[in-house]
Amino acid sequence: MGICLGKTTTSRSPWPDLPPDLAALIISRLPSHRDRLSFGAVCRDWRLAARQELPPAMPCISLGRGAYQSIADGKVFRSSHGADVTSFGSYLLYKHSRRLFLRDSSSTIEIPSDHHECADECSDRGDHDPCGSKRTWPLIPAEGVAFTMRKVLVCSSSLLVAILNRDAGRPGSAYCLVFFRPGTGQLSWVLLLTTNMYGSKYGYKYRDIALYRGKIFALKSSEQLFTHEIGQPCCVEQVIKDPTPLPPGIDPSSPSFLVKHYMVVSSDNRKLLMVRWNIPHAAYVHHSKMNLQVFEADLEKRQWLEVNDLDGQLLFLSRTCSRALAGSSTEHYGQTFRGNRVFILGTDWARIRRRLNPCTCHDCEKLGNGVPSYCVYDMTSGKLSLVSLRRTRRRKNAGSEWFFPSG
Amino acid sequence: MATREAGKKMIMLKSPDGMEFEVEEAVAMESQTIRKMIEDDCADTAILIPNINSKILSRVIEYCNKHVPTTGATGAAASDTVAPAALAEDLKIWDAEFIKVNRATRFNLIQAASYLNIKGLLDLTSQTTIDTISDNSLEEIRSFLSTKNDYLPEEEQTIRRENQWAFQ
Repeated sequence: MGICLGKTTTSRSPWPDLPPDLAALIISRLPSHRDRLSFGAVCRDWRLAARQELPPAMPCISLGRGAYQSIADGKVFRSSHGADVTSFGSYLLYKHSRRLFLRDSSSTIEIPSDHHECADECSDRGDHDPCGSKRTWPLIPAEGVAFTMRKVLVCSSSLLVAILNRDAGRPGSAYCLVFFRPGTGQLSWVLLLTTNMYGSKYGYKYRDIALYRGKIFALKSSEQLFTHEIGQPCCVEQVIKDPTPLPPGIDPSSPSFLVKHYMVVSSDNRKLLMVRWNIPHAAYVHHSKMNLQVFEADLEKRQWLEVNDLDGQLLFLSRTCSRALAGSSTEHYGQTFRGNRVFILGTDWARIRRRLNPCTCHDCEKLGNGVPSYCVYDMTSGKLSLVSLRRTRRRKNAGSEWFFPSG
Repeated sequence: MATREAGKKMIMLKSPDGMEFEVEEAVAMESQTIRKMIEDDCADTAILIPNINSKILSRVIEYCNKHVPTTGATGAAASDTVAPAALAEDLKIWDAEFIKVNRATRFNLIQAASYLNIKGLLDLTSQTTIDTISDNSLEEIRSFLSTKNDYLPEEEQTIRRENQWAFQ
């Protein structure tokens, strides 16, 4: 640096001379994606700084009707795609002229609004319809776009995998694995069928899916783990067979026993984690107590191994997207965003609480009244704390997800 | 400024405009850059701090003096009777006063903290800047920082459109 830093500059501000590395340093401490965009819009040098590899920004929570609130600073934003919008990780799903689109900061993909069944996709992958059944079922009910879609993964520009419910609302309906190849001319999800021991054909029913080590990993509610090949989704292999034992004191035979599973890939992409949220039957459940276990898939020994430490990561869990962020890079964002913590949507916790016997403390009342919030579970202390976001109301019964804006 | 006391190693820091500052080694070692110089034995007589003038350097030393860990032999910042939480609170108030400087000085402090690698000071100075940025519109940020908008109108339009892919 050739300049003398302390030289008094009464006539001119020294800020335009801010070296790129310092601009990058300041921007890397901005927890809000929107602030990073504003920073990058100031001038060319700052845009360059904003374009480099940065620690992850903190996500937003959807409030319903196209409104999103940033958990970093509580600011509320309106979607650019109207009210009928759902987020899946860094993607937004919206409806335009009765067509469905999935977009992130760099691409837009039209996705099918109906699906057809396919028993043996692997044997014939020509351009013509490889499957015997040509019947299609519409996917979008009147209420909302993603009512039936639980999760969607963009594996590549030529393959999307999702779990969706074709009979949503009907008894016995379940989420099944489907895939779609953009650009092949066939705008329809393929629902893979498998044959059970009695010779009947069923879809692959999963709780959650994740993209890991170039394969689609799929989790059943029984904690069995399967892989589907990306090149040939109908090539299935079971990689973990046995469920993990429940912690002592939890009675799975209780009528109100409930368990929720989430799969998430670690921030360094090295581990596949499963989070199990045990919701025991109890006459009185306090909001600060939570039974959460994290497991790592040991693919060599083909078992789940419980882990007590998240290696400083922050895990954000929700139905449409779960994501792990490296905690070392978020330490400047404030006390709440320190590592080794699990973040759960307030709506998910509130939904669970309704099934149980809720306490009437101030925090629980807030949850019940739909104040936008999230819960932070500290893996080290086992304590749960509630963080309410300010000044907004969530629309009643609105679905809620994490949204990780990028770009 | 620190004075020589028995049993405490002192370090001489020199600014490019010829001022000399005698500081305790522990205070100087708040800067990772200086710590490295001392550990590599590059600091027998005096350390010249290039690029940082005496006005800024004295403020940096003031910061390090306040923030040097009190467990050591310094004894200047706090007595043993003060609880850690109260001490942290006291430091926070002190920091807030310390950073009440004009924009040019803050810019110089950021650069000095970056060059000398003083994490606490870097946190404090950049956080103060971030607070300014995150509460203001683009035009306000530009005018506050006196930064020139070097985008062409159509470029700015494109950026605005790109930035609005998700939110209005």
